[in-house]
Amino acid sequence: MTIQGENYKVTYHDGVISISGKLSLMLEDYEELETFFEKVIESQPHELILDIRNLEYLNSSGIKTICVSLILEAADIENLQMKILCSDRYTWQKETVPTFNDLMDDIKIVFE
Amino acid sequence: MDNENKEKDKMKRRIAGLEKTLQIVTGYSGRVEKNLRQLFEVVSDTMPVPMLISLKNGKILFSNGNAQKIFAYSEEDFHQIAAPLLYEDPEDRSIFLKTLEDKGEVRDFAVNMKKADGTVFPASLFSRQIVFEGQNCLLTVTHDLSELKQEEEKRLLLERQLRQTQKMEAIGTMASGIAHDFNNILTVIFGRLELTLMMLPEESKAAKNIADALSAANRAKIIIMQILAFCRKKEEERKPFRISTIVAEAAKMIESLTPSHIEIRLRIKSKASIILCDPTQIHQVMMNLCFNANHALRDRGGVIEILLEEVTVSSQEKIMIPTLKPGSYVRLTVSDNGPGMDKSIIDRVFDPFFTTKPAGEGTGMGLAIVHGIVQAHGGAVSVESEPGKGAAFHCYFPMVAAVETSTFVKPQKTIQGGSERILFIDDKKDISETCSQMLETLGYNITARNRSPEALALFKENPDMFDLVIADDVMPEMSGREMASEMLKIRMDIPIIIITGRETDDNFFFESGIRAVIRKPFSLQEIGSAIRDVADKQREKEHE
Repeated sequence: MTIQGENYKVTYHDGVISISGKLSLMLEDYEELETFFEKVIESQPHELILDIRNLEYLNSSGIKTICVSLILEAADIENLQMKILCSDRYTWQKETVPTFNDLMDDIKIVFE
Repeated sequence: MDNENKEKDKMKRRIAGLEKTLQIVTGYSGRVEKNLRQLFEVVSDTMPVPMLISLKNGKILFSNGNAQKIFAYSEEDFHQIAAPLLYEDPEDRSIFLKTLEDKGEVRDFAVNMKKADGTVFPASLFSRQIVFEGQNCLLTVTHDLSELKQEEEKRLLLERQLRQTQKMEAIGTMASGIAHDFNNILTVIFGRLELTLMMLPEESKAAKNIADALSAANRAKIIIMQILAFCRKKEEERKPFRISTIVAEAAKMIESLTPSHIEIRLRIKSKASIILCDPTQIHQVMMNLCFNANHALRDRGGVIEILLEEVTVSSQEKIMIPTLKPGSYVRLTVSDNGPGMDKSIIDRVFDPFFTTKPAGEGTGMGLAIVHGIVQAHGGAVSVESEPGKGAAFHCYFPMVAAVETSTFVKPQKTIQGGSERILFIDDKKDISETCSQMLETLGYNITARNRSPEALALFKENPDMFDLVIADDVMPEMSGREMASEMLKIRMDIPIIIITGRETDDNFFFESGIRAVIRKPFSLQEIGSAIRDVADKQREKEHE
């Protein structure tokens, strides 16, 4: 599965969601991404990796979408292991991604 | 019941998760807002142009450092005033708002803005609608165009000067062509009038009429000289010249143009002083100063004294003439014992177009030109005068070298003649006839020709038949210079005088062995003196 936006790209393959580029849509425009995450969750993966190492920028609506439509949904699936791959090149990731631990106790956050 | 509890737990977890999400998102937004505000402050404070954020009603919410500097209002002042006050015409603000409404943005809106002290400056405005602190606002950037306008004005001024220079060059070329023809015509008029005057009884009415006609011809000659001098190329070449020679030559010409009830006294105390100059300009300085002195004395008669001397300007004298640096100068003084001037006239005497002469008699440019020429030579002009005590104009020229001598030169008024045999060539028949008659009255033996090849052939046939040759320079078949060169090949000691109506560099003639150059139109005295100078020097050589 792939979403190709003007400045961003989202793919899902073998349990890995990769988001790259700059994602700064208005709240209502995140519907497509919400549906994308819904399909990922419906596929009942045992392990899910969110790779945002090449995501340069994500606005607050994007943060909300990842939190609500992906992480909170994943937290409801029993025995699902989730890992987030981040990059410490981006300040916003360093400041914000660690707070995702509050949404899912056993989420694994890895900075490179 | 288990399922119901499970659903309740799920709902509770979801609600807790949403609360956490809210915290995460607001935390994130707060950081982004802070960063954006910081970015805005850095950008607005470092941008080199004034930036204002205002409401449509004119209230100013934000001003950057440059706006405070350019408009000279503090940040607090900006909050107190309304934006229309920043416009020279507050109505312009309405036009600005209308443009913004119609087009959604304003680009390059040309308008005059006003600073706190009322100073107006030209500006170009760029504006867009933004939301600032939750309100619909206008962000306006003001480009101060003062320097740009000044640069543009400078460019236009230079262009105008260039056009003026080109125009003057064109006029100069045209004037020099016309002057050549006029000078030929005037040569005949002068000659015929002088010849006629000699034939008439001195006190007769006819003689007075002829004298008046000569005086008018003199004025025409001066006008042509002035036109040529004024239109001459600006890039004058300054070379070391013995200023006494230039002054003496000019004095001689001025003497010939001066009415007999005015006496010219020439006193040269520094015969050897050298200055870097354009001789024609020094000539013009003399002409303009003497013309004014002549005018001052024309009703009552009197004396014009031309004095050339070396002076040393000390720092004390520098105070009297501030533009003059201490050093050695040659001072040319032209003084008269006329009615003098009061202080109000002295103060304006060098102003362009200032004249005390009746309408139609003076352009008011004479002394302005003198001032310009002397200054361009690195010198200065001063004037001394009091009502009833005459006037003296002192021109200081920086001296290059000098040998101290003292001599008195009295311009000759009597015309010396001779008996030499002269070959006279001019392609204009009326000029050759007139000049032949003029020179015959002085005792010379004249053979006249109108074609240079014919004259050259005559000379080749018998080179010793003549003591002196006078030739026009501009002739159709062979120029006077070419003919002179051929004659000098045959007989290298033959004295040759060139007459010309053109402005030329006399050095070209002298380098090819020509002894003297006389400008048309000339008086009997001028050509008579030149012939005697050349013939006498030739005789001295032969005796050596």
